[in-house]
Amino acid sequence: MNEARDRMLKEVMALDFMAIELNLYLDTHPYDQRAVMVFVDTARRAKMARENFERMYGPLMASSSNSFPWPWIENPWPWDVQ
Amino acid sequence: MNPNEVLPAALENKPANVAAEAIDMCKMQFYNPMPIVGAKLTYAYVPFQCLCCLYPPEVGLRQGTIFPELDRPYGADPVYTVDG
Repeated sequence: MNEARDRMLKEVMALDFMAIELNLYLDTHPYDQRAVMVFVDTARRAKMARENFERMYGPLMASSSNSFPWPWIENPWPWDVQ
Repeated sequence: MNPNEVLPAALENKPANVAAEAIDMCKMQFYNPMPIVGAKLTYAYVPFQCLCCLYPPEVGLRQGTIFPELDRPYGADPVYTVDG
């Protein structure tokens, strides 16, 4: 497996996880202004990381496949991932 | 549960601003090691979480939470660990 690809994918996963955690926190703390700011920043960084990854290694979800030929099958299959 | 019931004395001087109130609540509940005031028997009390510092994303993903105050790995407390 490509190490750089793994690292970028891990970054996307970590930022997505952080956004989910802050989402849950904000569900019970909707007036926490600092948390909202951190969430907005995290969501923006997650979006950027995802776009960077997809630009280099292809779509992370079939719904973001927008090129020809169909790029989805170029990703490693689940059994190819170590 | 009505939070006023949990902290009747502490919330008497309630600030108008809700965010400031949350911060005050944080100071009382998270940073203050004092027990919850006016607690009744047979009630369950959960202190209100407050945003302090956060783990960086990679650490959070590894630990399963981005909140250091919630980071209690399985087995940390032998009393609540089946095979601990």
